[in-house]
Amino acid sequence: MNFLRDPIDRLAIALGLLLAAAASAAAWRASVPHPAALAPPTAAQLWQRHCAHCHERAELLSTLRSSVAFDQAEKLTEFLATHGRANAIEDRIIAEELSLEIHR
Amino acid sequence: MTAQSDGRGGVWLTAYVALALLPMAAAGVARADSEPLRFASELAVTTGFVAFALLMLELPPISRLRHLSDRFGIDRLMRFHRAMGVVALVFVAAHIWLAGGRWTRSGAIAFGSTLLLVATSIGRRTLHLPYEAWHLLHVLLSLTLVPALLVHLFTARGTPPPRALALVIGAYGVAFVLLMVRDRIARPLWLARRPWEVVANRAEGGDTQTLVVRPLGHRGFDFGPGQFAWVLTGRHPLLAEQHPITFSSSAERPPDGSIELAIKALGDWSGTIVPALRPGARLWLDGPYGSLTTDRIAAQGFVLIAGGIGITPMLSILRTMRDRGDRRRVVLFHAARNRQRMVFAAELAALRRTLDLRIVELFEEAQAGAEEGFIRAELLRRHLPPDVRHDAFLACGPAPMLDAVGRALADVGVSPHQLHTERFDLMS
Repeated sequence: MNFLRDPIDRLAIALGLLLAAAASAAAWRASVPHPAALAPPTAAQLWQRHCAHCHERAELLSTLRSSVAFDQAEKLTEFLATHGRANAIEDRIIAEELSLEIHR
Repeated sequence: MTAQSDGRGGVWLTAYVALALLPMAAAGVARADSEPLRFASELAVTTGFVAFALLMLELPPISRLRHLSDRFGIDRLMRFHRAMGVVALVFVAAHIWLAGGRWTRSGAIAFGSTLLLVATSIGRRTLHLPYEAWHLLHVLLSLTLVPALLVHLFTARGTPPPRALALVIGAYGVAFVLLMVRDRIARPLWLARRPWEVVANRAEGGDTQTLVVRPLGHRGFDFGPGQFAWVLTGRHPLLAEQHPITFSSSAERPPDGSIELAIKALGDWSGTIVPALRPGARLWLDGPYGSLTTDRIAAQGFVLIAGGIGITPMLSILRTMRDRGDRRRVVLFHAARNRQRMVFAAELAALRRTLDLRIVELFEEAQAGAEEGFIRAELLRRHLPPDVRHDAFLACGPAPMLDAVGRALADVGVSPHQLHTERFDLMS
């Protein structure tokens, strides 16, 4: 352990351990999902994420009301499976929300 | 002055740690919305960014930044550079292992360069690599490593990093390029306009030459006793060999601005090129550098401890004290293998007539009428003045001697803050 006699070597080892601890802490923090991410997203959040940049809400609801093809949430979910980038669960949430509003 | 003695070392260390963590933190912020990976994969990412920062931070300590070298001493900075290079290699290895051995071409080049940089530096003597060849290899490997690192960071994920992270990574790359251009191009070109001329080249015995040089067409520079300069020899500073050499002359320069440098034959350059320099030969001095100078140390007296050619900064200190009429008490421990290897003994003895100077000669081989062995506590107790609490201890010599000096001084109750050291063999 001759190298440990040099204070510069001891400093380098201490810095290495400190940086390793910081890297581990950052990795652990990043690997744990954020509490907000654990909760299912709300329909409003999903609308903003997947729909709002292409559709105007009132206009879309009006179109859906006039179409028998989308009078049930299941039919809407089926359509969304081939439309947009949301996953199946998100499609379902969006479809149920829109369906509720159509029939309100 | 040591980093520990003035309290500002902590500021520099904090800045170093912050810069070592900045790319990792920037990556963390940039990836905040990404799907979390498992811990090992996230650790591969964070160790990779720390490794990148550590490798980029390897350049400033050896870039002759005067703020750094004057504060910490170039030998400490070199040792820090070398030790942190090993730490960086550990982080690189951890990154590769945690990433599950998924190689990219740029990543493999970066890893190979890092491994070779560290291996050839630690094993230079074992590999019998001449200093000049090693230095050229070191520069070339660095110039291979950094572009490979940057390409790896920008391409490893398949998509470019987010803008903020790219800016941070780019800033490290730009800083590296600027430092390289400053050290390897701008500074040599600036030095080329300030040549020095050899006035005399004296053999001092003990394989040591004294070069007397004067500035040509400029006023040269002032230095502190104990400091050193990089001496560049060759056709042009851009292509010159350069070696750190301590000033041996007084800091009170004569009207022609000349400076003396004592150089011991330790390798090809000092053993063949330096003795062959004739009066009229041109060279360049990049300096002054170094923290081992009495001009920055407030003390009532000095204890100087020199081993071998480590006597040169002490000679400069004593000559300067003589020229300034400084009558503070000085005890000089002068160590050498034997009398034949001891240089400047006659001049040092003569300085006792004008200075409050006591000299303790110490030889590894038994010599009549002198102390034998190495610096040790018992020897210090016999020769040190009774009260040295307000004295400064300056030591220069090979690393094992300085380690022994540190232990012996601690044994006799000298505070580490009183000790200022510089190792003359920066590449040991």
